[in-house]
Amino acid sequence: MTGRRSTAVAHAATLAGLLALATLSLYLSKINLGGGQTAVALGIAAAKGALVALVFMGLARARGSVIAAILTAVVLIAIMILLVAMDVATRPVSALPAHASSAARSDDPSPPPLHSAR
Amino acid sequence: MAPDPSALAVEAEIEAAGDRPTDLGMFVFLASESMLFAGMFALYAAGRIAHPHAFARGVAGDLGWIGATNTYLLLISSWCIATAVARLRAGERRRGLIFTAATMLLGAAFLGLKAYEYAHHLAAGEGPGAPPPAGQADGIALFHALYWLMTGTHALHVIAGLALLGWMSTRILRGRSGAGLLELGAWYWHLVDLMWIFLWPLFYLLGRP
Repeated sequence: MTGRRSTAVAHAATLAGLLALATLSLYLSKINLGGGQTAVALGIAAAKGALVALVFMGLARARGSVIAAILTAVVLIAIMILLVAMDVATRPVSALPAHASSAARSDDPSPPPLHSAR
Repeated sequence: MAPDPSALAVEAEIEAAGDRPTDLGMFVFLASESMLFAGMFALYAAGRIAHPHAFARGVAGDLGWIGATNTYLLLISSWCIATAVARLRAGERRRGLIFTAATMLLGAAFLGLKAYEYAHHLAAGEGPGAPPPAGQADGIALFHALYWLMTGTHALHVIAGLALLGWMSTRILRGRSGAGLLELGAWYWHLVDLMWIFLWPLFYLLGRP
């Protein structure tokens, strides 16, 4: 009975935390956080994801082989997204296809990366 | 319908051993599903870096209330299915099935809102592959292409999850399976929720004024 109750309490507390984090995301999206907006939004999303994985999916009490499979996927995904983002962010504007570079100029007046003058 | 004692006994025996081979298999499958979404997240990252302002305009054009409501729906549905598994494990079959039905109802509501949102975009001429509006460059078209690709793939996963939970509920109702089977479906549902947790800020929050 105690085990059942503690599981129910853990699930309820996790749901409350998830709803609170979602509301915080919504609130912060209406505030100008400048360049930190992406990091904050994705950081909150990562916290929500961790709660779902650890409590609802039960990864906190999963055996080693399962943890290894999940961690491998997370690390490989992070490496892939990081490398793709770094490639695009550090690519000289002249290396983009003609239509892409003209689009970048016309609809994105933000300055190009510093090293693009190389 | 009365439970099938032989089928449930086999499942209970595997559970008692504490080393279900299906667990690792299911998580490897979920990891491969994550890779599918990872490719699309990488595409989004590249597009956002190349066209930050166009992507921010795209986010501002999405229906924010639908994104937020759908987020709450999926978070609550994740709690429902986790509770359903816990109830079944405790031997409360009826409650377990009620929570599973609630999960499916919330998933259906998610799809209903998504359909409304898709109809809104189609009416605004923002269908998949539509040319960018006059005076706007390719960045906004790329945003819409990614929006349809990523949220559409996610919606297909929601439909698959509903079908999976429906099939599992039927087996549990007939007494041919127990909590062990539903837990596999629950993990899939949680993955669907996890993907939406990251899709929500990318398509509804980042860049909203």
